[in-house]
Amino acid sequence: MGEITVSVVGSKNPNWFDTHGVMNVTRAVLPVMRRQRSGHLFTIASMGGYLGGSRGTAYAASKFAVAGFTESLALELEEFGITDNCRTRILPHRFSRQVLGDSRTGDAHRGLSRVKCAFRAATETANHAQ
Amino acid sequence: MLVEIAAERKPPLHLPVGADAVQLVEQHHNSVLNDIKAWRAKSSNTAFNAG
Repeated sequence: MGEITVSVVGSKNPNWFDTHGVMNVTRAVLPVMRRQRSGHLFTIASMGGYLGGSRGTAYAASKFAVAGFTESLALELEEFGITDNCRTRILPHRFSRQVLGDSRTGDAHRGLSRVKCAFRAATETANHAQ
Repeated sequence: MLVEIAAERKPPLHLPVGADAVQLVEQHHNSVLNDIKAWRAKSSNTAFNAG
């Protein structure tokens, strides 16, 4: 039987940057959601966070972490009156960029601006209040 | 798309994006269901009996 080597997967692994990013942004907006008792979290993971894939162990592990984090958090948020409708886990695979809107008409930019404004307002309000 | 979903009264909890993604998720769940059907007795026999 051959030797199995497992490298340490930690925050220095690029695959985990996205995972920690999801957690940090969520942490920033949670105080606002708790206060208003509503909100919607979109966590953009990957099909790699739903199905494992050959030569993608560290990547899949990091994306499965996002899935577990999101689903568990949704249950915890119920304590604050934020119901199960509060989160959507996006599982992208190969998709048309039209899903983001048609940038030629400015829809994508308008949509992104709305998200940025909402996020800025949320984080400014939160400002270490969690 | 995300803005539209956020406005829904009953938004999806999981949203595969792309036809391939939909197919992969369906295949995965069928695979899990087939395993459960084939191994139901073994799986069920491991139930914890508090009594």
